[in-house]
Amino acid sequence: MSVIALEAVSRWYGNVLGLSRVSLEFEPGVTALLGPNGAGKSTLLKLVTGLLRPSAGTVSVLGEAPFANPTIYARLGLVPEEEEFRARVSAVDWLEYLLRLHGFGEADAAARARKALSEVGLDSAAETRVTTFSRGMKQRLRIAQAVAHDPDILVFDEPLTGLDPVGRRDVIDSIRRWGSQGKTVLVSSHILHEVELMTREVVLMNAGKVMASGNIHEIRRLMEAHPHRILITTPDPKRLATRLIDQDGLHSISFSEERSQVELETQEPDRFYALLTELVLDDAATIHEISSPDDNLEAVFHYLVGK
Amino acid sequence: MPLHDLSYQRFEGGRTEQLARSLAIARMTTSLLLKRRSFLLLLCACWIPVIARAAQIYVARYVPQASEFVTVTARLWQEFLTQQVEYLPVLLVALYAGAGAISTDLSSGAFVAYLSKPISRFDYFLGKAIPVFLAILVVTLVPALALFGVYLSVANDFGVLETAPLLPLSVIAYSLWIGLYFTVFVLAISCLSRSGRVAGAGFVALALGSGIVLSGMMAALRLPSPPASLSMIGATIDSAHVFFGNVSSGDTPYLSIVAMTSLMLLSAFVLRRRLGSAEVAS
Repeated sequence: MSVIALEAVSRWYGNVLGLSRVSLEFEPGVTALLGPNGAGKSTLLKLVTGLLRPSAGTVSVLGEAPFANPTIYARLGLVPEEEEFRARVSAVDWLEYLLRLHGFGEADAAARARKALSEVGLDSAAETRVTTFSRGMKQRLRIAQAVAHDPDILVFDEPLTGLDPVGRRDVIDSIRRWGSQGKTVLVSSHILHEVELMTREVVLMNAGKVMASGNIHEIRRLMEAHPHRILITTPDPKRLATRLIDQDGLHSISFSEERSQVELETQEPDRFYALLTELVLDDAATIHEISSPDDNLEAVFHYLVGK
Repeated sequence: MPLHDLSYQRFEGGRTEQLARSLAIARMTTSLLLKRRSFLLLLCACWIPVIARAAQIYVARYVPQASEFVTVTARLWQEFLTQQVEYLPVLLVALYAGAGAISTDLSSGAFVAYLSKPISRFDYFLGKAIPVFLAILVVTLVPALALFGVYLSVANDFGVLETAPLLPLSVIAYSLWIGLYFTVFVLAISCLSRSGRVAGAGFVALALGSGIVLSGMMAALRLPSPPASLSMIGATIDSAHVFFGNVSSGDTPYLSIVAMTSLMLLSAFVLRRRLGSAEVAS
């Protein structure tokens, strides 16, 4: 049984379709939901965290429907996208208060609150009123309140919003570590390179639909119909292009002598990688670098959503 | 220690009961209310009538010349409590403590924080209702009991309690009734808006406006005055006759009780619809 399972889940907001027949399963580890604004990422996270009910289909978290289910909430930590802190209380009081809602006794709640604040680097601001916090500090506080009760499932809606570079690095490292510790971590983001630093497991979404899901490399393989670009840096691009131009499966080829690069598009990338190796071994070509501009998340995402 | 090290956090101890979680919400809400100087001033102002009533008891006991026109009977407690409703202390306290109780959470996103915690929607409601209820009791039941204290400390007999032995129970029951009525109603209004001000304006308009508008309409149509039960304040005052056991032929207290019960049920229905099935779409 998957930790989180969605089966043919749709969600409407009035006449607007927020999520359209999505079927997904999430296992322990980090999975990133990636897509532009309005893709349905937040809707999916709210369905998983029981803040929304599906209009159709079923959502199951640890085998139970999450909506209005305190049993599930006890094992779940949520970092919402936006939450203002209007209460005139200190950070430690606020955190302690939320831990009391999880059922921790006064002493346990106080100890955990201090510890969690220390871990997100807010120990020096523990007694400061949360209303005076900067955006980044508030985001750290949201993360602290999500992890302080040691949940099995962590859900982060745009967790890097408002963080400075050091904070971003800390949070990315933490998310990866939580995933490797066996927690099920869902992260939504539209910042591609940051997602790539967190995980290779992605769900690409657009307009309420799942465009693709799985390992980024697997997704790339699913896209065999789409020509794969290979960028080769060579001191003699013209010569290399001549050797490649009559190969079967070549979609297009271009070269730039100024930049010492040859770029080819093929639907059989594996065959061309092997061919390039042979050319080097036969001294038929000198190659300094081979790279695939398509083999990163941004390229896959742009291809899938047509942007 | 790095952010990811959660090894210390494995919790083997027991968890508190659900009621303790409601009480945690109530405690936080109450402490935030008590930090507001304006709220404390309001509470103090609401106690001014208590001083007047205490003076009345004192004068009746120690100034024989005044005994003809200043008396202490069971009616004093009923009048005190109905005046707390009629002259708005109850309304103002309910407004201050309750109008923004839920609406502020809705607008700030704190509602999401609550809903993602292992508490039921009823726990949340209870946590929000307790401070409002207690605040109303602070200006009804507590001063009424304080007046008993004053009376017992200065009286040379227990005449009032001898003639009305159930008076303390009546005071307690009527105070709880007032508290329940206003608490449920103001929270129902609060959950309908994301703005505490709008909710507050709506609460005052409905609480005060219902009687005024209805009376105005009846007068314009040259019809007899509407029964008290059709006004929120009027019904609360009218219902006191039932609790204090002095229903006379001209009163309509049972109708008021029915009207108040109906409004509470309607409020509970609204709260259930808004909180019980609440989703967080944005």
